[in-house]
Amino acid sequence: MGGRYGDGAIQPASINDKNFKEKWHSRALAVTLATGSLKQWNLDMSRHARECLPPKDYCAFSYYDKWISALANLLVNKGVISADEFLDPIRKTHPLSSRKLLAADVAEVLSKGAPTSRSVRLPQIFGRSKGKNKTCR
Amino acid sequence: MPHDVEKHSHSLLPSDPELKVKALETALVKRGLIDPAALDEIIDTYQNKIGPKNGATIIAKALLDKNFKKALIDDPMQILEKHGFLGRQGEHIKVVENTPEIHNIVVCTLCSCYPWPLLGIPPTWYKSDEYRSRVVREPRKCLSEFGVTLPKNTKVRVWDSTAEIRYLVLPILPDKYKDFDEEHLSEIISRDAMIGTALIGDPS
Repeated sequence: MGGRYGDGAIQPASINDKNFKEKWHSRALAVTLATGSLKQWNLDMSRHARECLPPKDYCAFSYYDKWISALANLLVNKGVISADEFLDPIRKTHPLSSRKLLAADVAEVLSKGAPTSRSVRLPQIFGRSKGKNKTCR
Repeated sequence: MPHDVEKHSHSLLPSDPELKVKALETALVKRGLIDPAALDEIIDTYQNKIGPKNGATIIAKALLDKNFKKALIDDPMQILEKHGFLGRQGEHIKVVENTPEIHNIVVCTLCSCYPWPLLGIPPTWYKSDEYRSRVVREPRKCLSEFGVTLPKNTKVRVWDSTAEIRYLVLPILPDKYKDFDEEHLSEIISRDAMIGTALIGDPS
């Protein structure tokens, strides 16, 4: 989307704006964050799911609508729940329910985040001398 | 999974997004996969506990203390950890300093990546198509829509956030606020000033 032509003026908002304009916006955010604890996908995968929405939906959906629609697709495509359950929910304990995020753990989970740093044991082989070509292996 | 075989089950949900999220929540609660009380706790956190005050506290300190500023730019995570500002969507922060030569602006053209632990949930305009598409192409024009006009010889640098790296703008401290103490200074550092779409003291 970066650099696309044809979009209109930005509508800056007051600092005093509510964080969530509609109640369902907050619910959409919370459901999305809470399902992250099931550990069936990472941040890149959930963002990719939003980008994979059909273009007509991506353009038509509001921001949090993109989130929950992509979440629905992730849940089904990862085999967590079936699409039928959206319309006809079933009360049956899920094998992943032991990973359910509990209210008491929210503060810790949110403050811990999920750093993407990795420890690398291999010696650095690129970037030591600037301006020289290196062969990739 | 390749795009062409990606299943779009979302189309089975009600089209009204309010009903859509309700249907998802109900299905997940019934399977014991989410806890409604945890959802309330998450909402309370981002509604009432985490917001731009966190970022303003750090920025005010940096503007008044050169050594702190250097440390914040050199190794932000160490400083943020010390102040208890680590957290989801802010695992890797880069602080970019405005100078008379360079003005920094932050965007996420792909979605809405943003330093949550420091600024809270991004404002609607940050998530809008208009901002995401245009600020990388015509930042000065976008700034004018926020009421900001930069000197002609100030270069504008736009930072496009990634899922991992989030940016925080360290704005210029105008002379008239140089005598402010940390607490008062933090009160006039707006969220938008830390995104780069306002200057300190702007009524945004």
